[in-house]
Amino acid sequence: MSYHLLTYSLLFLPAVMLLYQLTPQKVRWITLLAADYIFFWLISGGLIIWMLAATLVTYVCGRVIAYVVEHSPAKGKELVKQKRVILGIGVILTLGMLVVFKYLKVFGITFIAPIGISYYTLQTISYMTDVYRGTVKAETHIGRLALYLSFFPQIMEGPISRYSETAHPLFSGKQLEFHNIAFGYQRILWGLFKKMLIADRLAPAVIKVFSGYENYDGSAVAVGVVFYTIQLYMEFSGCMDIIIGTGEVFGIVLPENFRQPFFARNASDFWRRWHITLGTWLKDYVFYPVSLAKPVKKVAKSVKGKFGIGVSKFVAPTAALFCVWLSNGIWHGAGWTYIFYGMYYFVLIFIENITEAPVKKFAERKNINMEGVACKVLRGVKLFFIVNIGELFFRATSVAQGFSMLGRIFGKFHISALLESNLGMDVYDVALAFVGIVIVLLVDILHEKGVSVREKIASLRLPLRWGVWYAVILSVIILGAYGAGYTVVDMIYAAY
Amino acid sequence: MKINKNVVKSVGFLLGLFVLLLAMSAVFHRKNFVNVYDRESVERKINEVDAEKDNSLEVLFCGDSECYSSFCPTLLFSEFGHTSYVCGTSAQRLCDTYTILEEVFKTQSPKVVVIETNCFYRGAKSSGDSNDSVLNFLTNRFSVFAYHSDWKNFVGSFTGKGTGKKEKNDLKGFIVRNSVNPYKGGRYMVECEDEEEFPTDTYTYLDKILKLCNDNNTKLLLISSPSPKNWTYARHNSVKKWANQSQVGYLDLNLQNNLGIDWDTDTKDGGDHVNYAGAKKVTRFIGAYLSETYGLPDLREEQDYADWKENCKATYDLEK
Amino acid sequence: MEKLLEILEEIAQGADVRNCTTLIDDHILDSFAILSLVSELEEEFDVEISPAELIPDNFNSAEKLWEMVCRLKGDN
Repeated sequence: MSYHLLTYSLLFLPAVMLLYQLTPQKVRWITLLAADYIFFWLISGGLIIWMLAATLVTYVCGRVIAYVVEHSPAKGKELVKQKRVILGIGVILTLGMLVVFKYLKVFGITFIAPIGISYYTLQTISYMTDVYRGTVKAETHIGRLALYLSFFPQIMEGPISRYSETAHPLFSGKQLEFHNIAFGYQRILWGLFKKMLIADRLAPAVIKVFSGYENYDGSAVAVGVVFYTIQLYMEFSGCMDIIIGTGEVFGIVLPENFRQPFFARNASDFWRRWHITLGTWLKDYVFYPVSLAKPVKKVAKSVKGKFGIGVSKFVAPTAALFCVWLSNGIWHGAGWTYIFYGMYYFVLIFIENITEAPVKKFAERKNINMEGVACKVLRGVKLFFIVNIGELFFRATSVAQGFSMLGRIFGKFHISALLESNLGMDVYDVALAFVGIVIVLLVDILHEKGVSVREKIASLRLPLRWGVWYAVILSVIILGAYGAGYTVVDMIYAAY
Repeated sequence: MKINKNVVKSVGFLLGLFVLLLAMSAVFHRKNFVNVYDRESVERKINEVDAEKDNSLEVLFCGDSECYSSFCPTLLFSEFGHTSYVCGTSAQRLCDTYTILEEVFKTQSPKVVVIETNCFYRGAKSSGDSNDSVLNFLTNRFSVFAYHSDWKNFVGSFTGKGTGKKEKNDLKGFIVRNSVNPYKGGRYMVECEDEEEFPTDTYTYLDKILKLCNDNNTKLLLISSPSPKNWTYARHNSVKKWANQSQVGYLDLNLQNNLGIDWDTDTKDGGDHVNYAGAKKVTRFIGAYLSETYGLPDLREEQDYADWKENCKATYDLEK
Repeated sequence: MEKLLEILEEIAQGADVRNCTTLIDDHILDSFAILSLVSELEEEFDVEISPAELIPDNFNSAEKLWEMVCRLKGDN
């Protein structure tokens, strides 16, 4: 089972909706939880016990913290210490499962991991930490916690939601509503459009270039890399549309994972718009704790004594930033390419931070308008290179391969060789991919301007409105890259 | 009342969609090549072979990418004097092999048809075989799902870029690949008793192909190209079994030590396909085998095949 | 409170910090600015701000910030 299959949107989801609606509101959460576990079972079978174990650990950890807060005779620092020990045990247990399944392969021990372990483990940690911090109350009903950790559209590749966002809405068993179903399915359709029309169409070129870049001119390698970036965006954000659309069907608002990332100002802004829920998770549970940790503060203080505030103010954020990007890299998998990817962004964002103020001053002195067209274009070009080079290393099988591909792009680039390269796509595929990308770009521009395209379509008169949706449906059916000559690609981020 | 209105609207929308699907299915409808998996490749290949002189080919090579990587017709001609053509296409399935052969037999009367065995494990279903059961269901009901990619033909016929042109291929379907990426896995054909069964429709199509060959007085020969990534002894056993039962020749090059493949230099992708260096070894080996087993004549000095001689020169230029 | 506004003005240059109630929601303060703010506040008012306090609710306006500082001062 996978979200991009019609079996999901046209069979599994309607079946769940029907059963959900037929159950009395009070016990709808049971129907939903059963659907969650069946979905999990369909993919990972018996490995579901690990998911159940993580749920139990998380529940008990939250309860124990709550118990200690209420009943422990300790006060102040002593109490914090006790809470911290309990949180530590909880995190070690759930994170331990993730480490065992994901990282022991470094030592040659491999297990098949339960689906979504990279995602739900982060949710267990955020819940336990929030209880520790006192920002949420420990859950008394294990069913609600189980729902929060296992909601079926989220389980495979996020978005990583917070307990405070989804636990209660999931449990409430809200009535299905016509408007929600219609809007939800529209969003699902839009996701299928991105995935089937564009992402899967570009896939063969990406595979060809990354598996045999030695056979290609630098120009073709560059095209392959750009195609990969586009494929990844279309595929990941497309699956998000399907996922968030599914939530919408049940009246559940799942957090957005993308916000027009390619219109970002710089690398740090890009990461506030790309895989947003991973970024905010790392911010709340790695960045802040590290930068406010006592040892880090101590170091910052001693640096201040020696070098002054101009330098010391960068100490804590930089240390924390390093931890964030190391975690980001490692989270994607046990491989040097991922660590390199993390460090690449660490360095870039670090540079952006220390140069921001001087650049601003410089621009002011020279009277350069930073919001002028020229500056915007330059910024866009810079970001384009940054993102594509990053994704190149992300996709490469080794850091060395990444560098030799990069060398090929910049060293052996002949635009004339591009037309002779066989990228596994015919002229129709290329043209159609281009049209699809332009459509998505236009929609993204509208979203960036704050226009809701779906609301706009909904406000059209019926024949026109239906016409639009019929056109989208038929274009997916006729122009989708499925069936003979194409391979439907499995969801990329479900593998992380 | 509001709910009823919504229900009416939904039903109306779905009905409209159903009608549209029926209409589109009438548009995306095929008269020929119905049981074909990859119509585009099949059509291209048929047109290619159609550009050859009638009854000029003695050997046809079918199969997937292993086939056009391993068998070099121009080399086969320049060293043994046998004319041949590679009818292999990327990821070819046996249903496509069958259709290609059916069409090619109309203009050619080859003495031997060689099928590279890797495609036996690709299944032979023509459509509706993704792991998406709802998509399969729709594909079997509405031809717009099955033949949707024909939009390229529609667009092509408007822009004049359509298929149907006879394109001559100087390398006779072979694809030269010189890059080297060694295979380091060591020995791979470990003798065993296991058998890895073919997908069921493979048997059906193999029988159909055999009958087609018999009807055209053509010998069928199965060859497994050297490929540590794809081939195993269990697969060998299964092919051997079918070949014996059906009294068809079978040559497993993975077991031929005197073939002399050097996995450090003769593969382009770590033991998946042989590169040109490997293809030369394979072609020379089977050239000798074909001459000996089937007594194919040497056509190098025949006036009718002068153009073949020209093409061979072109191949040698490639190597320089 | 005036001192707090001064600090805030320094960090969020160009923003109307006195009246703005969406410092976080509108990305006027990014995570780096929040950190500088936290260390300045800790120094100035002699309080300790834990990660648990770093939620949008506490940082969206000068008023909210002041509430947090007062609360933390009371804790000590």
